[in-house]
Amino acid sequence: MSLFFGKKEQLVIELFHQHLDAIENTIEKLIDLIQHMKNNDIDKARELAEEVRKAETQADQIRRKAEMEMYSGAFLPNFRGDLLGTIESLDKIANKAESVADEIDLQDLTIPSELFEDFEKLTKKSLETYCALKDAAKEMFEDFESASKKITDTEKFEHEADEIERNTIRKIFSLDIPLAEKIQLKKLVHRIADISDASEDVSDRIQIILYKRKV
Amino acid sequence: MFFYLLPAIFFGWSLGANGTANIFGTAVLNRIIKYRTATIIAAIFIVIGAFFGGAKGIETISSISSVNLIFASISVLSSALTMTIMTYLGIPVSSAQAIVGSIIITGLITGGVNWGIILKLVLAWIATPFGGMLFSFFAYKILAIPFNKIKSIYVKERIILISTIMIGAYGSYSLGANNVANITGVFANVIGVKLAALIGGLSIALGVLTYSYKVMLTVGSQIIELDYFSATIAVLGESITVWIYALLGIPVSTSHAIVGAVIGAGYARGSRLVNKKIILKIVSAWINTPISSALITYLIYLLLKGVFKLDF
Repeated sequence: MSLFFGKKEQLVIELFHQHLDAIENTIEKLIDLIQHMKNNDIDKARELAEEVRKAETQADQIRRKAEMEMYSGAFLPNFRGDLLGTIESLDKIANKAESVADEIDLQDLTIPSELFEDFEKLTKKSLETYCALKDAAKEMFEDFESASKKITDTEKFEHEADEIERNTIRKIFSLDIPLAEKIQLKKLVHRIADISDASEDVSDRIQIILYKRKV
Repeated sequence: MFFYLLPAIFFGWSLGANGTANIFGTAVLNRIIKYRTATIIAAIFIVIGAFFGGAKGIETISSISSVNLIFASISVLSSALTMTIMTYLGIPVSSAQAIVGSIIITGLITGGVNWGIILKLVLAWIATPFGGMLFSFFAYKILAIPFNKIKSIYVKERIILISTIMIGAYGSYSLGANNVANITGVFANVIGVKLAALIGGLSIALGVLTYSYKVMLTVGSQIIELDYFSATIAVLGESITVWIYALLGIPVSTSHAIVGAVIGAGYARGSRLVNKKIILKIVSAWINTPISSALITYLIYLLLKGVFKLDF
């Protein structure tokens, strides 16, 4: 299919793919951070939070480059608009990951050992949701049907992430820890779950792009 | 000689400025194609259409009434004035209806109008929007099947782009073939069909190249709500209609064809785009245009006869 693509379009698609990878990298760095929290090593956590931020900045840079290239005339204008909207909303996913890292770093958060597995599970599920979205976004250019299937997957994983989110919050409030700490942890859970919520938002957007092109 | 043809060049120029908007307006406004590219394609194909496909329409117009050069010139001048004044006032107008109004009055003055042809023309005008509607409805239904089978967004976009250019070229050909008769048809008895077709085609092309952007903005924005596919199909429906009438030698209005075509594409999509305002607009053009141009022709005739003591 790539035979059909013009040079400008190919460059934009390449940047779009790079942007998708950079967002994935940001979430992966966040998983590293969450996993290291097991050791209660604040300095290391700080270092890893910085890594998340760096990854997010990189995603931002690629986004800007892609947007610039797009407005040099790649694709027909209405798809250009759609794609721009998708890139902007994809970028919010990386921002969500960064805000989790900020939350941990700025408040020196620690995760109680009983909850550790849940937090790890939730973060990994968020990555899984994002990866399904990433596939949908890639397929959007090539194959409508396959993209639609990936969108359904994204929704499914997001639903699973919601379940984990609820269970974790329930568990937090069953622990014997100060209420302030409970609220802090609850907020952290919400922030992590935001990653899969934002992924689903983008998948909805892609679905509309596909619908719009059916005649 | 050239002096008598001047009003025709002016008329052609204004038709070119108006007519292309119905073919490339939406595509240019949607930035599918650049304004310059669109006008160059349109200009080339209008001249080709006028030269190779315009003869039949020219014969029709020249056979409504046999007029001399000065009457031919007055008819075209009045039509051009009608077009300009009505466009300025924002009243919908069509060149085919303007020229026929003028020819009828000159025919009445000189004593011979072929009413059979007039009846044929009027029936064709009424059928034009319906033709556009039918062709675009069926074109939509048929072409949507393969179009929906394409899975890649980019391939879809490429197809839209290529069809916009191809259908635009076809539409321009049809426009040239159909409407050139309005411009120089009345002169055909004097200067010959081929030369009439060439001069007419070139003057329409001149209008396209120099003054079509503003009209495109107006016309294009009226149909911009359509998606790319429907807009392309609408132009196809319009082009087929106008082309068939060119084959039959009946000059019709591209504006009426496109209005019908947009409605047809809308129906095929499942939306109802027709309203009283649109119908009123078309009907008023059918009535206003020939009457106005007939009146202006008569006024110019009286002026030339009474004030300048011209002998006809």
